Amino acid sequence: MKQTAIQATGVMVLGLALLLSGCATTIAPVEDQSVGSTNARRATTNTQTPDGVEVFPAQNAPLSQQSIEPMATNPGEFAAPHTTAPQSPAVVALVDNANRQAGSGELDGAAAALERALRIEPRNAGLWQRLADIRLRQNQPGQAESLALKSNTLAVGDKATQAGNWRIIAKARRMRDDVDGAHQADSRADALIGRDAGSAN
Amino acid sequence: MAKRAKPTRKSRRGDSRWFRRLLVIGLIAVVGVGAVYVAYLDYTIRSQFEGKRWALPARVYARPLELYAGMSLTAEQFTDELENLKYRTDQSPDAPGTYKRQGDRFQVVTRGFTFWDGKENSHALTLDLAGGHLAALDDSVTGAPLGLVRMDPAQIGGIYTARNEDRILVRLQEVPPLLISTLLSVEDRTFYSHHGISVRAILRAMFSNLRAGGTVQGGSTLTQQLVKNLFLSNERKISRKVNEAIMALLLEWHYQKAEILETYLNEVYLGQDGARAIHGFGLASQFYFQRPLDQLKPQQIALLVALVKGPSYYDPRRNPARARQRRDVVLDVLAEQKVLTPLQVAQAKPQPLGVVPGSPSGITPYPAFLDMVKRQLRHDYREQDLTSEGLQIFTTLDPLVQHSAEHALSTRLQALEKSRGIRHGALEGAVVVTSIEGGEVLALVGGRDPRFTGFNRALDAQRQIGSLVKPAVYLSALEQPDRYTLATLLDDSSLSVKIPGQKYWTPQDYDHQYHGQVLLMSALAHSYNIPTARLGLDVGLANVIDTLHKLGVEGDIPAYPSLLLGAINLRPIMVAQMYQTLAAGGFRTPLSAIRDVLTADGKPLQRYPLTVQQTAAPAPVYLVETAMQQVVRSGTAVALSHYLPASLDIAGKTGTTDDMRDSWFAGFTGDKVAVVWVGRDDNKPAGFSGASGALTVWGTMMHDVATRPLQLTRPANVETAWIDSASGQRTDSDCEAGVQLPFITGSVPSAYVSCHQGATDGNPVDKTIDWIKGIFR
Repeated sequence: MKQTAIQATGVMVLGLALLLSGCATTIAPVEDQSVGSTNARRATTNTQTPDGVEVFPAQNAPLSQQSIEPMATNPGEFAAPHTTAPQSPAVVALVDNANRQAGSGELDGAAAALERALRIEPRNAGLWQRLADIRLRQNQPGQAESLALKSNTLAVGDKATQAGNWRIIAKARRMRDDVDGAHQADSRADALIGRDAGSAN
Repeated sequence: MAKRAKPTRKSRRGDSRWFRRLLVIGLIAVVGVGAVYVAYLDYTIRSQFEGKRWALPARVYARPLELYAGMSLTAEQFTDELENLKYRTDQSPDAPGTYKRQGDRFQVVTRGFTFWDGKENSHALTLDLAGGHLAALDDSVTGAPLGLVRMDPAQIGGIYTARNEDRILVRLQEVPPLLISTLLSVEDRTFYSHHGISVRAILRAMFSNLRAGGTVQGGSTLTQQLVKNLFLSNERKISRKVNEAIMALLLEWHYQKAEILETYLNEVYLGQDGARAIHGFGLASQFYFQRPLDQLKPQQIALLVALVKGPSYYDPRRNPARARQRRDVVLDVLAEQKVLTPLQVAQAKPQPLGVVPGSPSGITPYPAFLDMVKRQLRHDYREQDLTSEGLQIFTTLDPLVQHSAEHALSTRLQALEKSRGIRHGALEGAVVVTSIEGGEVLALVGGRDPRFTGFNRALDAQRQIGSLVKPAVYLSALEQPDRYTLATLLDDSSLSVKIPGQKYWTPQDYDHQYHGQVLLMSALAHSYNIPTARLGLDVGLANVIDTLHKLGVEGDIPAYPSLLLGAINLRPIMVAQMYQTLAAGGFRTPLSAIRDVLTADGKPLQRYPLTVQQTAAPAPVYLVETAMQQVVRSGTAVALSHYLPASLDIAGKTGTTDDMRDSWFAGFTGDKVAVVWVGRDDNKPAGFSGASGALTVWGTMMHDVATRPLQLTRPANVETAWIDSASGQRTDSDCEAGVQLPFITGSVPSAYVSCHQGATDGNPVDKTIDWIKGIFR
């Protein structure tokens, strides 16, 4: 019934993701040495199943806390990670799941994993931001902007996360041909991370 | 005449010729009609057998419980969840769906389940609960800690055709061979050799019936039984028997034995669950044993086959002795027919029936919630698809919250009636509980008898909301920080407004008192009517109506001044939407009862994703939320402290309508919004204010629900200042009458007053102020 529509949007989203990947450098995952090492460890300790990983060892959390903040442009921007750092290993695991699915273009799956995480930590600004990013990649600029604004209200005092949200808002506005709005959003992001306006892109 | 006589003579010879002709024609006609009739029967069975043989109802599931260390969970809640899921206690749990509890330690083997985002395998878990939390979650086998495990979801109902038939389709190759040999041994031993009817079986049945002097044995083959179930009525007429025989022969003519057997296995009627008819062995296995067919033990298979003879008469839940006797007869047949060895039968016979306790009667234990699910689905699906495609609907219902809500409503209404000598059953109520950020409906109670399918008050009762409207009035004002702050002084003295075409509107408080000049925050906390009316008139009805729409209230809202005090009829679910938007800091998320939909074979079909829309600015919403916390700390809802710890910092609002016809309480914690309405269906005065009625239900319910404290995030453009409670002007932090209040940047009062000038004349504001000081310091 709905499948053809879903498939069709899936194809569109995939195409869009390819288009977008060219300008996605500012929201690439944070380079952090611990990510690589924990990933390597995960490969040996996770109880993986052929049909999808659902159980994660709690102590060998598969993801460093930093890698939940993929929107910041460099590690030095983490001013107040308390609004984005997950409190529970369960959320860390789900974010890892979402990252993996987003990486392979399964954006609906990634969104579902993030929604699961949000049920556990509904006031985690980083999760809202990740979801905003997925909606952006799914060509839903309206939801992307709303979710980024939501993230901002929870990220008070966390300039890095706020800056990331304004970048998402800028992209969403550009997607809707709102060039002025996009420029304003970029300026706010620049101001938050102490850069001159216009130098970001 | 002669001309007439001739033919008469001729006609004698002609008569016999005519007679023969008639006979032939008659015979041809009979054969023709018979042939047409058989052709008609043939068409009937072929079209029905090959067309849609079964309507597969949509299956509706509750939310799965997600287990992770640190989550809120008590041993009682977890036991409740396991009972919902019909897990069995077992001294050494090893099969999926079994558990063992030792105090605060649980050992559980979960059932695997296929969700929207993939399969969750079965896990052997050890859980340690402590202090209302899940302290540790470990793999029972390896002892390693686990991060996140999702339980299987409880099935909470189905969406059925008018005939209320339910089944789980099974394929012949999935059916355990023992079930088939048991069925054939008991019901139709010559199934593979007859052509639809078995003369030998009929003769044998007649013989044993004659000997017994009544019907003890049926001579029907499986094919005949199937024909009867599929196409014919249950009446005992010779014509039906003839039809049955013809159709059985036709069915065998057209179809393979395997097809007929598979159809039989899925069609046979095996039980009744209220209005829901249990068809087929697949569903019967779940219905009686809560496990799939291929996990059944021989004595359980024997019981299912025993039920074919009479699911009501041998009902293992209502007539266990009778069912057991019949089961043992079946086991004896299996020994006699050498399907099982004598040893196997000897081991099976002492076993109990092993039937899980019955689910609450009826189609669903949660009719009000299922009603909402159906309404939401009808936006996207045709009724026919819902009742026939076997869709799997994953909903947001949290059975633990639902149970707390049901229990709180029914027990509190009884207590309220008793306390006032009201006739039992006169009071009614409704409860809606949602998550804040996801807008997920966690619980929905449509009346005091939660199992009753009928008027769904949570969705359909349009009642005046009274003071529940006030946060919208205050939000409209606080959105203009240059005009209003929490420290604005409002005038509580008599007010009369001329309404065009009507008389004067003269709002009053229930105590008919005036409080002079009051802080805007105190006016909301104490729900003073006159200052609210003044404020609303000043802000403008159009603004207030606009705010209500932004908060999610749908439909036309008439612009009468009485709107400012809640002369507007809303359904509880709509009130929940309004308060969800407030609780989420001005971000509206449409309330939803569904997460996703899968096809019958587990393929993703549709998701109902989380969406948000910012409809109110965070800063003014924050000010209103702060004032609503004051309602609970020191205002009209202080009684909530009898039920819940102050540390939850709940924000809420009471609502009472004229002559106490409606009693409301709406409020939120850190993660849940809940709305309770109490009143009478005939709209007569119920006799309770929001605080004495609905609030007590709310408090009782939330006491049992896992929740977190409300910790408001102060927006960046909000600052705090010390305010003199009497004058609303800035003062020093060490002043007795000083109170620290939040302001939108730039709206802190510029005028300053020293403590020593501050008037303290013991008005109710000061009591509020003392509270506020305690909190903000």
